[in-house]
Amino acid sequence: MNCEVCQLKELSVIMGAGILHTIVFHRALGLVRPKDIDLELFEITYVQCGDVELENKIDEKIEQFINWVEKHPNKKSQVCLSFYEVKNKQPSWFTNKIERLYWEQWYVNLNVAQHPKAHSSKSHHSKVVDPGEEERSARTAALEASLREVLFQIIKFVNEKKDHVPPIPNLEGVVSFPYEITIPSSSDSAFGMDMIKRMLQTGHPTMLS
Amino acid sequence: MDLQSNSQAASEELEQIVSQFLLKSLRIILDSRVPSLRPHDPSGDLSSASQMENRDEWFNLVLGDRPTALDSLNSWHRNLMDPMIIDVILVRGGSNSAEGSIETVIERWVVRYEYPRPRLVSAQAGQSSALYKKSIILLRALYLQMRLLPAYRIFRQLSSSNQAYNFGIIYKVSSFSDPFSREEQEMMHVYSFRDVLKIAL
Repeated sequence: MNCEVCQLKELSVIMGAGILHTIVFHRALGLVRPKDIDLELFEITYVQCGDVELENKIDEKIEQFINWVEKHPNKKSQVCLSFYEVKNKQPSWFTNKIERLYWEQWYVNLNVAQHPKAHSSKSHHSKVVDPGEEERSARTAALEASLREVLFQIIKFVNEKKDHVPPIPNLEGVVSFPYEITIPSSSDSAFGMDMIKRMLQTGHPTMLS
Repeated sequence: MDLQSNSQAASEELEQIVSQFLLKSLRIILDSRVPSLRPHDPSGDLSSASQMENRDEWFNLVLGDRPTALDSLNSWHRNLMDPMIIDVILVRGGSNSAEGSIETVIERWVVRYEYPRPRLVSAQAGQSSALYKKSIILLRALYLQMRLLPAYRIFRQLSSSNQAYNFGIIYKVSSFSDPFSREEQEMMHVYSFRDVLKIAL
């Protein structure tokens, strides 16, 4: 079994939660009542699983991510959403831990550029058209287009690659498969090490010995 | 072990999945395009009996009460080998307009069950669950896609207000259709969802 990887095109961080929800919606294969979410800023509707616990978890991770980015403004940053299978490995001299076999990884590239704000109350009184307004709406249109592009990118990926999805395990919770959301940790190199470790774990078992 | 009846059962299972898949995709498409099919919103009593009866949990996607108009479509599509073609049609003008109403097909959805010839004699047991799992994923993607295409905005506009518009959306479901002219084809964008399962001989 191989690990499929999807690198998503870069997006504004305000869409981070929405993108994670969208990916999970295609991987939460248990009983789901879809919840349509209308975005205020863009004329786009996306879909969530409608599970409160999941929503809280995603919001929490995004918040942690934003905190990290604010402390490390010049570093490249992504959120990684991975799905894995749990294999109980035979204890040996090498390891006696439970092994995770990752079968899918999504890299959500988010940038914390200034996002378009609503029309400020000051200029309501002014008769002069705010020169920034046109620029703001052009920026909004660009953000909307890139969001739509990423959503289609997700649809394309989940449709083209289905063979690697393991049988649905009997798990509690709306997300059928064990998963984790990884954000950069306090040191950049630790994040990199996590990624390398993960890549090693997804390899064929004979590669590791 | 009676191999004959096992493969019979497996075939029947596959057929049932295919049949329900057609119904579900029809439901997903029409629910997000045709305002008049929206079931009347119940007063909010979630425990009402009718809700439970109509609750369709196939492919783990719960869509709420099924519109009664779709019940008759259930019995219509008898031959699974026929494609199911759903046209979403924009109607403009009407009695007010001098030219009468103009109908334009804005979306055409073709759902097809393909099988290799000669027909597979023995279906295997494990195939149903793989097919079902992949169908679940495909239908999730379809559900999202319906909301990302331009026609969804028209649907939302028509559904949201009580204002009368001079345009509307109707639909047509059939197992055959007139192909589009070259001009029409050039104006349309094609999306395709990859095969859910190829059964090899």
